[in-house]
Amino acid sequence: MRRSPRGTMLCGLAAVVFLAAPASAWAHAALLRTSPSASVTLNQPPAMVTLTYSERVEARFSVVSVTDAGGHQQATAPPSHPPTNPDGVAVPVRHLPEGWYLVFWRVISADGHPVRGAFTFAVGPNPGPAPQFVIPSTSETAATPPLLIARWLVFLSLATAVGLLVMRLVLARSLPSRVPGTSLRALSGALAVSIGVALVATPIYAVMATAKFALRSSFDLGGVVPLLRVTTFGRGYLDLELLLALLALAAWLAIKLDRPERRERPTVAILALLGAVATGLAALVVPSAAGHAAQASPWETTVFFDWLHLVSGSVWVGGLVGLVVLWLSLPGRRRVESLAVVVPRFALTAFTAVSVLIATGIAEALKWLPTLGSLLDTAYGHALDVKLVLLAAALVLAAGNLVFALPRLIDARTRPEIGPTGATVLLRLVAGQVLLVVGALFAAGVLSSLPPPAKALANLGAVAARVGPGPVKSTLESGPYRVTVNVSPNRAAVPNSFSIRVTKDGKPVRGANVTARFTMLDMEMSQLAYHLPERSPGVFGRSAPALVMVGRWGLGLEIVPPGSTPFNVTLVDHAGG
Amino acid sequence: MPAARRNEPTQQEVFLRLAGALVALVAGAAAWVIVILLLRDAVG
Repeated sequence: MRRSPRGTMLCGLAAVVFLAAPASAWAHAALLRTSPSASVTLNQPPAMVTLTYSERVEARFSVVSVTDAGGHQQATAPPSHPPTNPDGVAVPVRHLPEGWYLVFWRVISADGHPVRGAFTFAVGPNPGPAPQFVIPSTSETAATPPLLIARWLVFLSLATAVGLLVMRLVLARSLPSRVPGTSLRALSGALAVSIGVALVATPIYAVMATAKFALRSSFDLGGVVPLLRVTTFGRGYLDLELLLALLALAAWLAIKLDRPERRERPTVAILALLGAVATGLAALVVPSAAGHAAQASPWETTVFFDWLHLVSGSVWVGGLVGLVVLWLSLPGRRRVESLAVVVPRFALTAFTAVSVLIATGIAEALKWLPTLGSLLDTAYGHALDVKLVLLAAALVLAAGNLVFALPRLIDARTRPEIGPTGATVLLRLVAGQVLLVVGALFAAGVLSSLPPPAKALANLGAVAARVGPGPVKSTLESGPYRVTVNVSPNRAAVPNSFSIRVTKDGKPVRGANVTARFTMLDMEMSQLAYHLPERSPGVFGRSAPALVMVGRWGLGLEIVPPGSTPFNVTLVDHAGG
Repeated sequence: MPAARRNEPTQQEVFLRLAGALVALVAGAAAWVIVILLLRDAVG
């Protein structure tokens, strides 16, 4: 009976160890369209500048500045939501004379992460040459070490608390009745500590994050605390604090009313258990509700999978911590006997939890990753790789427990001499898993603070070269053709000089039709296309403010030589600020 | 008092235990109400 499920578990583990299990992936607000459009020349001055994003942004924390070539502010009021467009922010501008204007924007996504960018437009008909605007830094990240550590502490303590609750009230509950002389007091203590840490870490994290996106100091509590209730993110983490308090109360009652020394669970203990588990499960909805999962479409399934991912991860990590606590607290002479009661039940639960973790992780990866290559190409992919490696290593240790430690603990009933070895190996492997899973949770925290790769990556095709930041001079081969690409100064939001030299057998290709297409790869934006006229034999180019934002751009060159087959060359260019 | 009855809870204890269980259940229900309100607000 026992051999068969273990074999099944091993096969399952071997099969899933290579599969992906990413964290809840939170996208960020992406700029979808602007009015006026980026780089456009208008014949009539606009009354408003409107920016529309992929999700709701907090108008109160948005910054939209419109400046002329002399750096004078042209916006006449703070940003607000246009009445018919909750996903947008707009600022009214004074009557703009002919010339070039720089729009710099900074908004806060629903999960509290800042996103910023800049673009230019001109009022014509004769705006003149585009000036060299001095733009503020357009790169900003929520992945600062203090915020990452605070977020990790919140996730870790919350997940551990829920997992320990399940361990104390369900998986290990029968231990005192089966093995006289044992107690679950240490597990209850560990549960109290983890809820306590979560109760302290949650408001600290909420204040730190809110201060960061309101550009204030974390110690300016008078200014930051009132802002907490203004954002979905802030409200979510305030609610989490309330839920943790309810969890502390319900868990205390459930433990107090339970009589673990009796095999039968009293009715009142069953009711209290239901209340405590329901509170724990509710608390795990908050990271999804306060993050981007609630902004995705359809939000119901995204939030549900995100929540399921967190629930299964919590049962696993909390159970592992519980095993370590139990091992250390059990009296030596009762240890093997006690572990033989708890470990098989935990193994089965952990196997189910890990299966759900992986299945929901794959579902989320399919949703957020546009290509398999983005696992290697993007910062988001790198964080996911780290998480996968750590989880895979933890699964290998889990398999080691199933193969080596568990059989020895069970067989110790008939051969007591092998029990202690099994218990020692179990502790080492479980402690190793705890470290790896805690590390994976940190990677999940990094992951959730980075934007997932843009869907544009999926349509980019084969990339011939990666260039930038800084001026670009790159020579590429495509069939019989040699293409030399120059981009200068390769900076965002200013006009750049693009020059393409095309030769075949060392001779310039004259009269070709060359089009350059610019696709923003770090966020969703409409594609820009420019025709590059021939400036000298075989050299095509123009100056254009095509790179409207700092970040990676797909630069696709469509070259149609006269009387020959057209060909494409694609580069990924990193435009600096 | 017979030994078997010595460990039986008093009426007050029974009432307190029942009240405790109900409080835990109410906490669970309140938690889900909070979460549903948060979700309703988040998806706007």
